[in-house]
Amino acid sequence: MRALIRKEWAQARVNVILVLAALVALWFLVFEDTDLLWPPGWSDDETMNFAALLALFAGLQLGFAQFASESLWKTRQLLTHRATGAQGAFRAKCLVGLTGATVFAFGPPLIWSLVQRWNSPWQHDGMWSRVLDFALVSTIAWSAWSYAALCSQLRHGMGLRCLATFTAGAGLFGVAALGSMALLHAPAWCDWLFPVASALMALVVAWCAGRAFCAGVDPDIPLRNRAGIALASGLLLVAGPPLMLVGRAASSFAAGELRDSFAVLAILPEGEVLRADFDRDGFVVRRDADGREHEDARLRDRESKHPRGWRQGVLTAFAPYWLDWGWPEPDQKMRMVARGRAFAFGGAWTPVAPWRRIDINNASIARGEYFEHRTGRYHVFLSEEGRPRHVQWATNASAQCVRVWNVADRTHDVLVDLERLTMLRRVEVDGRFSMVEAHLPEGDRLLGVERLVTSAWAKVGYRAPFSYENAGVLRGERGLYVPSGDGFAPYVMEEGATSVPTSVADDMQRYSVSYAEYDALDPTLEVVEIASGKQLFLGSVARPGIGQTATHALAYLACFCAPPPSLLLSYSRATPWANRSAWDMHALLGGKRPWLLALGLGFAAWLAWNVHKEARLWRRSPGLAIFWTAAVLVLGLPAWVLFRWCEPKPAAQPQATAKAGRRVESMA
Amino acid sequence: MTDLIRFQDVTRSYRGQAVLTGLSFSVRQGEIYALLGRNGAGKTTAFRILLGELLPHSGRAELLGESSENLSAKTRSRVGLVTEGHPVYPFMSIGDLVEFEAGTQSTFDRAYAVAALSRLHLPQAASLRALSRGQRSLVVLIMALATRPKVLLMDDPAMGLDAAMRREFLDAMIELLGEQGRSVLYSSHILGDVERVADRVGILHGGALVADMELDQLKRRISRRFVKTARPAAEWQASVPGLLRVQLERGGARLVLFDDGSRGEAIERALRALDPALPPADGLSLEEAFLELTAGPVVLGAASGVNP
Repeated sequence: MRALIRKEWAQARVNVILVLAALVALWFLVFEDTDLLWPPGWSDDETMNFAALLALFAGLQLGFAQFASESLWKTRQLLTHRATGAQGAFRAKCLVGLTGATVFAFGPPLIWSLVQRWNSPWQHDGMWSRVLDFALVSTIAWSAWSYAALCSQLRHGMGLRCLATFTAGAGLFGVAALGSMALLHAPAWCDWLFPVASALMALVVAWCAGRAFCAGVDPDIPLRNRAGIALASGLLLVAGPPLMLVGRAASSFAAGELRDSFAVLAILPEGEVLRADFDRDGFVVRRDADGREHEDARLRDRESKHPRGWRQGVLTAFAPYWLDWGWPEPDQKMRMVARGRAFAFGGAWTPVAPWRRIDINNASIARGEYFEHRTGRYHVFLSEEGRPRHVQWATNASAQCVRVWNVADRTHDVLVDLERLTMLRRVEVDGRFSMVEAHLPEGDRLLGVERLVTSAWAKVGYRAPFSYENAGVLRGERGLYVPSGDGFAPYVMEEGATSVPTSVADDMQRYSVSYAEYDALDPTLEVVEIASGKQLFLGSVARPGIGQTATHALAYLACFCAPPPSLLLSYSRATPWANRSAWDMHALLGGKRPWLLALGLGFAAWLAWNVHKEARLWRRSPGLAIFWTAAVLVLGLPAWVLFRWCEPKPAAQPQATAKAGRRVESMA
Repeated sequence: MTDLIRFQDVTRSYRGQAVLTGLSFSVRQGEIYALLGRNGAGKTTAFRILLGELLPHSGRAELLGESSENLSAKTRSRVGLVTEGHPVYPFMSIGDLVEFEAGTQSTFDRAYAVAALSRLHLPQAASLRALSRGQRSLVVLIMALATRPKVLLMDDPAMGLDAAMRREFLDAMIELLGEQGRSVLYSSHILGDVERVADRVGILHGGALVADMELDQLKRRISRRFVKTARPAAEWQASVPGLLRVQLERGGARLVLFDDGSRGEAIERALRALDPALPPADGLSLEEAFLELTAGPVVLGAASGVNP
């Protein structure tokens, strides 16, 4: 075994060293302007994903290279035909591969942070525990290695093995991204779940890969029932979702293209509703008495050709697809808060490269203030007299905190704890900082925060969030307030204000816009004046044409790639994308096109029947045949693709022997 | 004597194309068996089936008494292997390879390997990547023999070597094999090599063996005869047993005949019926015999040593 391990290490060491060097270089290049060690970091999700992506790629390529090189050098027979057998060979590969993956996982963050530790002027303030988070999320390299090892055992050519590895990698990345995002907002001890899950997955998948490796490369040798099902389940779990997303992406693309092509509706000051077109020279299209459409010159802006309609007071123009963004929807003031993201609490911020010796006297890098929702800590970074300083407080605030500021001057922040309905404010006295509790004036009780929305579309009931996602005002029992100076001032709506609190926007609504008949590909809209109940518009906003027909065809086609349950769900859904789902098939949403539903389900059933027939014909075990049939019935075309990857068509039985006969040759 | 290698009616095809259609033969202890066949005849497939890398569609292959489908590690360690192209790990030196073999083969004789390498002027420090094909083939052969195998499998070991290298390889092989008595299954399509080393020959054609006998026997049993007859070939060819080829010439026909050991007299009688003044037979070289047996469709009896 030791000889095998030595051989595997000799084979993999160049790969490990070069890739590790490349990963470290990438860490330094990518994080040149970002300080990962300053809590809580600007974009933790992205940094975590980046760390996971690099480790994942490194693990995948190592696993693939270890097995592909045996094929390339034709040394598989040399390796397995010895006393140690195929099992010993695989174990050695596994040991070296997973060790290499561990190096990829822990190496780059460790080296990067060590360099920071020695070079950064902020070294005393860095949160070194964060390095562990990156290392833990990078343990996805273990699973990646195992999946590459598994995909390398597929009884197909190198191209398909590569494709399978890539697909499995994409799936794993999805899993890692979701996992890391969840962990970022979970208690700190949950961090350890990630490497534990990755290690377990790596072990299970490696076991399957080992079975496949020992079974050899003959497509006529099917894996035994349990190993076959384990292999298939593993691949379905990871490579299935990316394949399923192909249909979903096609469907979304088609729906997006169509939405962009829909006409815009413009409500004129006198209450008339017109269909408008941004893409054409004349902005507004008017339908005359005999039904023909023509441009309305009154509304054309001849100088800029920009729609005059966007100017307040002239008309209200809106795109019907905004309805798909959740409009009309009740007050969304709490929505952003629920994400629980860490955010900048206030102060100026300039990214620094702490691994460089920077001029810390430079005032522009002086300040950063953060609230870290995960720990409830509030951090202030300062540069005072050329020395970096980091101050932090345990605020005891809940994760449901939001920052509210004065939109006019973008200062005077308060940290509002929506769960406990308390407020905190940072105060500075003689260079010393402290967090103090804040209260609304005159003993008013805090009820919550109202989001600021764009006033332009308040008339039609669209609550477009104002420029900054956390922009809001404080609602007390006796009114609305904004932070001002060291206290709070009552909110006063200025004339022509571009943003208004949600409750004010509710009072401004004059029209109701809704789908009269919902169809993602050809919706019918209705505009009603609320006061009079008069219907101002009822009609389709789709614009027929070749492009639209082609896009429809793409949306229909996507239904063939979709899992049958998602077809049924999409068909049964009466409402559009208010709660977007990864399974939506836009052509079927709202119970449209039963023929397409029947075709999609029929196609999946036909695939399942074919899979069952082939599995039996190819002498696969009954359990495996049932497994694959069920998988195709549930997951449709993607499962069929995976079936063909996992279970290649075996060589056909021999034909009749060569024809016998004597040779009779004539003399030339 | 015990059969160390046995194929029993093995069939196998790729993508519907039949490669082996009923291969049956065995290799006895201490015997050097040459499996001959043209390119694509199925020699490598037979080797891969024997090593358990491929499954037969029907039939059975055995190595050292074990089914090839489930070879134990112990059996594998008693089988030396020299494969086509002599694949080795390019990142290793000869010394590394010796260490690798010593660490993974329980029966590996390091002293033998070192001595053999030294005798053939192959320095242990040399990188395998830098060796010529001929040198690499010698290294692989030495490694295979150093495991002291009971059976040595060599799949076209001289393929791709030029004449000089082939001779060098063959000399080394004979020398090294001479030191130890073991069964060898040797596949090749270079007949000169076979004549030097093989005890027995199997000729693979059409997916099965068309001849399976000792080398001298094979040369004796394939003969060329000229018969003087004015009768058209279609009238009499069915009556001549073991007829491989009929070449019509002025005043008669030149026949190539194969006697599987049971039909010598029948052949003689049939030919004398055609030409009472039958001239004596011409002998064929192994190459000519091989070409006659593998040049096209053949009809052979089902007597012992020959597959129909």
